[in-house]
Amino acid sequence: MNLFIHPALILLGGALLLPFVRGPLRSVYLLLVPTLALTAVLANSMASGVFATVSYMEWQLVFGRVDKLATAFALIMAVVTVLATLYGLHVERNGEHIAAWTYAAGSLGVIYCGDYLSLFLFWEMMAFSSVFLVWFRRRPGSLQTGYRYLLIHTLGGVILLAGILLRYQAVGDISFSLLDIQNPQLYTWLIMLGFGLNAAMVPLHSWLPDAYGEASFNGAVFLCAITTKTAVYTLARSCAGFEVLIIFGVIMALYGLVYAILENDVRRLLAWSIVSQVGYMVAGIGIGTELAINGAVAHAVVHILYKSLLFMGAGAVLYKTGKTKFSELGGLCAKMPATCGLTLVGCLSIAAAPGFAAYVSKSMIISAGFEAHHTWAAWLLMFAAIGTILYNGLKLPYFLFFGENRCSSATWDKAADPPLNMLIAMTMGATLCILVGLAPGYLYSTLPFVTGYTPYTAFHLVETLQLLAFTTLAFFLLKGLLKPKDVVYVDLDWFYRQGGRGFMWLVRHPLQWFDWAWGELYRSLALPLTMLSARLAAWFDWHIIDGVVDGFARTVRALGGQLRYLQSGRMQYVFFQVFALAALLLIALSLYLVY
Amino acid sequence: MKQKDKPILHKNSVLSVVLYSVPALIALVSLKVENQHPHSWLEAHLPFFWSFFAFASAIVIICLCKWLAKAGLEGSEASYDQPLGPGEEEKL
Repeated sequence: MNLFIHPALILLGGALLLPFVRGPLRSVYLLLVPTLALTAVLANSMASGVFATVSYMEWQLVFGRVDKLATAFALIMAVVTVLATLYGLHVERNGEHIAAWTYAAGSLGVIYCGDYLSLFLFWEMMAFSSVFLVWFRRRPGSLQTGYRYLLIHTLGGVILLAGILLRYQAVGDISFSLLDIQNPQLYTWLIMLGFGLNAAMVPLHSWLPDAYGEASFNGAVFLCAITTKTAVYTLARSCAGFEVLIIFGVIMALYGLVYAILENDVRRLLAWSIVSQVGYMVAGIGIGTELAINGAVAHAVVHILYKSLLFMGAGAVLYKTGKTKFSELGGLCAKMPATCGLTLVGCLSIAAAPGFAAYVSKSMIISAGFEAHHTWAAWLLMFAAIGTILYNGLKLPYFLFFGENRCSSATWDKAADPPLNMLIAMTMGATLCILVGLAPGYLYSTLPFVTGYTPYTAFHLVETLQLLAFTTLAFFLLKGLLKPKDVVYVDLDWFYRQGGRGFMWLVRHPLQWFDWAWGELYRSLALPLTMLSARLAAWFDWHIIDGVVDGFARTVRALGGQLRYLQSGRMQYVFFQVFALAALLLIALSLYLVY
Repeated sequence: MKQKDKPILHKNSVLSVVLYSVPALIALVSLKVENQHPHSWLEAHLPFFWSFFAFASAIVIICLCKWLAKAGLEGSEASYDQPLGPGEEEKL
């Protein structure tokens, strides 16, 4: 079957019609639209090739390029759209669903497109729809966070557009394919950085913990899955084997780890964890071998599964208690047992425990690093994997669900498992994490290359168990050092926040002073001078201009008055004047002829 | 009803015994499993290599992060994102 149905159209159409659907049918409709989009993606996965091409001016826009890479990402994006919509099914504000579906449609548009022009359109659609998922939190700081998010993504969009235009000027082509990474030009770097900003590449990453920590409880589930992994897709498509990405990836894995270890906010910890985990994917893309690309894609897919599950768990705590700080939570397993159990599946999945999601993907990237002789990178990624077990496998569940109870009485009373739809979505996510972990065959069959990688060897199993067990031992010995503390940790966004504050200071002090001084100068000096010149102009106008004009008018009037006597209207005077004049003329003529 | 004094995990519980015995057991098992494709000399020749690697790395990570926090990363929310002046945030 060679039929292509664009799932983005289903989501956008569904979003447009949503305000008109009311009553009990609304929940059915909310589930139906993303399920139809998922069905379309599944149907598309049976096809292969280029579809939905449109000629625009001199360019060929491609909206439906279907291959294994696109299908793997489209499938997981469609799955998470279903799960996240189910999770927020009880959210009554249509705007949230519309923003989320438009955002997911933008991602699917990027994944299926085959040219940079339509990619840019969908890229910006993602940025401008996802910001609403931050604004819908409606806290005093949400608006500012949203604007920061939008400004950074607009900057990223401009960098990407500059790269696209320079590339078009250089090669006369807008097709979205592998760049010439052996001979990188300025446009190669710009395109890579444009994509890299969305992948939260350090130092262009600060928007991520800032926005994801502030998003609405269900909006964060969409955010954690879509933006960074769409960027990973675009990097895999365009920059595979670009070795500088290995450096960026390793820095991301380590940088995110430090902040996640320290972080006091549950969702910001998860956001830092995204920076760290996406680092593995970026490094895998930089390594560029078949195993590494497979590893990056597989890790992106399972990362979406466990990270959305973790954000759903943290969202459930936020939804019920209104709190997200470890220093205000703790011991919640007693009040939220189902949430605790399901979140633990996410924690084991990200920690790469055998039988859980990341066990089958993370080791692919690290093995690829060793095999491609990027030994230093592979060791550092291994080191960061210990950090992942620490912050997400141990710190998060221990300080949130077990250990000391730091809840206030009000928080403790409010704590309870969330509504059924949220629990079902989490159960589905947890089931997928376990299924992928236990039987990775289907996941591997969707990957771009056939590598024959087998994660379940005796040595890999025992190696992983050693990592888990001894990291756990170290954690419990030193957990006092990680005790939640109500502080924030200064990141690189400090610089642009200070830059923003500096700009406001510049506007409010020197510029405002200049504006005031200019006003005063005008009032005391320029205004009297203007008045004087106006008076001079008035005098000149009155006496000179008007004098000439009026003088002429007066002359004409006087002459007219004289002539008026000639026009009395009596016939005898007229005849007298005419004959007198004729006689005078005859006399004059006679005299002229005689003499 | 708030349950402040009921931590689920504490030092002298059965879980603490498990915490020490399970790693030891796994480390012993690792001696019996041959590494078909070692990535480094250390991995191939040092017994309990991954146990040691995990334990040492975890300690280094925790201590390094705490040191970085004290060295300047740690700040209060107010100092990080304070308004420009009294009441100026409302004007923004």
